[in-house]
Amino acid sequence: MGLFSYLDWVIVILSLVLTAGAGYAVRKYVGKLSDYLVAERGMGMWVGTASLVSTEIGIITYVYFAELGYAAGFSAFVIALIAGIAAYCVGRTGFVIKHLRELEIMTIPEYIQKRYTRGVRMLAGCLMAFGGALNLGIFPKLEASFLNIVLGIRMEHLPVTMAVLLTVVLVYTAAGGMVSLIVTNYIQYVLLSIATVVVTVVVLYSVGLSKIANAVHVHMGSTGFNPFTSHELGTAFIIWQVAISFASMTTWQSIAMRSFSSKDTATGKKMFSLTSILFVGRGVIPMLWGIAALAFFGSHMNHKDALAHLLATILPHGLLGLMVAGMLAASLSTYSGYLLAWSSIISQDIVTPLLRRQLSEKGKLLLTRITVICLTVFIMIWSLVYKVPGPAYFYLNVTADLFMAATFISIVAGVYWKRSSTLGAYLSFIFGAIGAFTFFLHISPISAGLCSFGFAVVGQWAGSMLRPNRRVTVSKEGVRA
Amino acid sequence: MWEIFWIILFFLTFAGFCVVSALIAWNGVEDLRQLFAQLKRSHELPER
Repeated sequence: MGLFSYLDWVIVILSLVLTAGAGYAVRKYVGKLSDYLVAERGMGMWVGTASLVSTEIGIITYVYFAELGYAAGFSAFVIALIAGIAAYCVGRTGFVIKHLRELEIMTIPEYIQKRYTRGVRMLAGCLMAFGGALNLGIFPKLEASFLNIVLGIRMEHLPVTMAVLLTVVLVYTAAGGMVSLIVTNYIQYVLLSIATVVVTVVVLYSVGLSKIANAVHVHMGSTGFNPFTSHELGTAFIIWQVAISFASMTTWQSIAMRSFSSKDTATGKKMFSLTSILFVGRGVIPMLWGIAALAFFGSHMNHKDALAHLLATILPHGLLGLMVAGMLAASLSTYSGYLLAWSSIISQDIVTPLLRRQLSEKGKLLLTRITVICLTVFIMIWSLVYKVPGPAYFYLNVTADLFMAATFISIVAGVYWKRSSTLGAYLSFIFGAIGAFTFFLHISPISAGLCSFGFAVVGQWAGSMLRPNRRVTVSKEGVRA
Repeated sequence: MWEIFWIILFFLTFAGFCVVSALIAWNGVEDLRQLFAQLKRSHELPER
């Protein structure tokens, strides 16, 4: 452990104690499931934005975006730009989120049951739980690798780092739910933003912008700047990103939960507009760090480890501790946000309907907590046995598409197309999942991703045309003919 | 041209990130106070 000084350790441990302590302290406010999952719908715009962004930024986000910056140069910035534009459009127009927030639901599949049937909800819930767990399943290994490089811990201790990371997450996720998430995410966001700004300034100062731009010219030529001609990206990739960005802003459970938790529809919309700039920053800032690693080390590094080596090399003691504290804070909120999102789907949308009886508030809360623990055990095992093929960003997008493409299509159709029917939703989920699953049959991730959206549209359209539902209106109280 | 566009985008985003983060840090405290006041009220109501 030669890289980390005592000062760095003190900073990291203090930040962990502060966030975990705050999360634990507010658990007395959790009595009902709605406190646990959507914090009584009392989240204001500023903490809502902090909560949304810190859930969507973890060490893994910085690792995979830096990996793309290292591999594709400035062209990779297009991903962040598309995500920012999507967040802004959704915020300005209230596209989908306005309707879902007004229905006062807690999970996305709840809407699916209201609009279609319980069977579609369970199918959606199963695919979400499966894809979500696979998605989350690579987080611990990539993040623990990053931490081991930065902290100077040998790689054979990787499982220990993973276990410590997940144990800390469990303490406050299982204890507090959304209420502690909002508090810890706020503290974590402040820590993360300070670390991000400081690291960016040090990277720009140590490596230099002209050297960064020159490295892209030398290693990639014009393809490192033009995303349409980039070897790693290209036009098909950009189309896929547009679809996936709108889908994730509206139907990705951990993002959607933030709009369900907001005080009212207007607050939810404002939160998304405000988040748009942060979504661009979430991408372009670590991508620039990745390009800086290319300029600093050359192109021979392992893409996934380049950022960790750069930060361990250029950051002085104290700042290294601050950066790890900020990154760790970001990761803890990402884990707890995702664990809560996927476990709420497993408990609410799969187990509860299977039991065929109403559970008490305490029973529901206990079920959600048990699911969080089971999910943590699964991702620990998956992380240990699975090796990520190619860039992590592609794997994450494709596993998300196992359910996200169909969820997006069936919800958009449900909200905006009266003819949309139950058979259409079933076919959309089945076809969409098949499209994404082709990735595991060695189809390129871009083709698999585009197939999942295309197949989901075809399924929804064909099923709705073949067997339309009677005309329905979805409201808070249920479905009216 | 792409190079200039991405560099301008980076600096604008970085400036925006700093400003919005500062606003979140400043205004978030009041939001948290209001959330806990609401949760406290909702927990007290059934006891009355």
